Amino acid sequence: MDIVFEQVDYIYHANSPFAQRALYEVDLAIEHGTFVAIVGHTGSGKSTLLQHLNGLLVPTNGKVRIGEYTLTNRQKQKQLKPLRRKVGVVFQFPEHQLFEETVEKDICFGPLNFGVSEDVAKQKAKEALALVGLPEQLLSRSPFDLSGGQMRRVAIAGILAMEPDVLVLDEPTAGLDPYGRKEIMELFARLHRERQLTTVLVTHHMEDAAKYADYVVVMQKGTVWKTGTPEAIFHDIDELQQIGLNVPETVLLKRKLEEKIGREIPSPCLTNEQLIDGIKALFFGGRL
Amino acid sequence: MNVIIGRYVPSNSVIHRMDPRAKLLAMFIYAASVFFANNGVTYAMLTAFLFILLLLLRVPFSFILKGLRPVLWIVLFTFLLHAFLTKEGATLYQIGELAIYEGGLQKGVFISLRFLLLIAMTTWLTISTTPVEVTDAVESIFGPLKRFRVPVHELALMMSISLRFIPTLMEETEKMIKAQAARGVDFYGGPFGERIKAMTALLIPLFIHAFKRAEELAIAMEARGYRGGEGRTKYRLLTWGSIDTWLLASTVGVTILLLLFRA
Repeated sequence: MDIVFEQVDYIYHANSPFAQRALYEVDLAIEHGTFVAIVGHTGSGKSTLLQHLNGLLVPTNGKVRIGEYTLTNRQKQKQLKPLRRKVGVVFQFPEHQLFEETVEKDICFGPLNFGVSEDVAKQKAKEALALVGLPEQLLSRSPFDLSGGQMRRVAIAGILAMEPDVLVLDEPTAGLDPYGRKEIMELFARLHRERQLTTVLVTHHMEDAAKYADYVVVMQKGTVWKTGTPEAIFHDIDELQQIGLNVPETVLLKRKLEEKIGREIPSPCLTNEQLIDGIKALFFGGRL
Repeated sequence: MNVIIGRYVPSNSVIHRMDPRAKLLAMFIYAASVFFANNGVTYAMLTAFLFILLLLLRVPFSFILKGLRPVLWIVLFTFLLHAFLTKEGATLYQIGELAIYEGGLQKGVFISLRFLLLIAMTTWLTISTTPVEVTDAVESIFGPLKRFRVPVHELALMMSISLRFIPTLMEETEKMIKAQAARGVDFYGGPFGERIKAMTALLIPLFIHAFKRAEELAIAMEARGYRGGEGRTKYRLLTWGSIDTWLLASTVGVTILLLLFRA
């Protein structure tokens, strides 16, 4: 589903003394099937933007189009259910939303809410659990007996079981160790490819944005500051650092190396692999 | 969010700078004396006194009135109930079965005024006093009860912790509503059974989280050497000044006058 933001403003507590503007005239287009990373400083409006994707918030001004749905400020909450089935949102610390007696019931909760029959829901729960890399025996366990990492995976499975077309991820790896982070991110990358999803990832890890995203959207003070491919966005290091953001470590290393040896490394060096390739090219290209 | 009952409004007025103990005691005495007022003179005295206290707050009067608006419905309801159901004195007005008597009208006015005075007085306290100050004052005022093994410090601590976590819980509730709405929960309608289910999906995670947090808080406090009120010093010291004596004395004065003038 294509996602288009047109001149979207969002004001919290509009028309009250506590009004606070979070989004300013946001224009943004996300094409079907792309993996988009949204980065930005705390308070830049990332989370507010994200909540527009399934109508948890509707724009104060402007409109958001998601596939055949259009959200404006006249939206009724009741009409949003079909949209929410198609747009799965994994919130920050999703394990906090677990509540059922068993893992199976919790994963089935979403599908059942969207009118899937019980047998089908159970089947989907089984598949989703396998997808996030957990053994089937866990289905009958209480989610509260699991480890933190397992709980996170169960919560993610609860969203995946809804089989959304658009997957929205709000810092899905916050608080995980590096290994767990990599595993979860690889899972999302695989799902994105296999199920032809549109994926929107909000993250603080520039490495993840560089590695997995087709496009990077940089938010600053409630508006879209810049969009582009990771190569283009992470090219200008100083500019990003000025608005309080960083670039992947490998890009920094590349710059230091280039300064030291006085040559250009012929690679954007967004990931470890690219960095290695770049250095290899220096050595074996006979130019050093 | 335009209810101002229980909300603190920062300012640097005389009242804001007073000792919270004085304000708390004044509020209690005033609240008690409201129940002794029983004629026009006494009610007028109480209203005038409160009016002065509210003026000293240096918070726009319209702001206070606006905040009290939601309570006005209850006040109006009380008034109507008394006006129609009390059958004393001369008949003033009659429509069929319904009749308004003089006594009823008077009682209605007095009772709703009493209601209004009580709410306005507590609002006066909370506008000028932070919850932390209120708990400090409670602990200090009830301090002597420690001799009788009343856990005053612990009670005050419980009070401040619960006040501290109200905004946190509100925030968490909002987040949880969103997270479950994203999983297809309909909080705005649907059949009764589904709504019950929606409430469990909301309340269970909130409870679990609150318990977890309570445990973490206890550990964090113990890790920093907390072991109850025994020998514990205070960061904010309460200081009683002459202005506080004045407040208390004038409140007591009004009460004495009231007792003299009541019918």
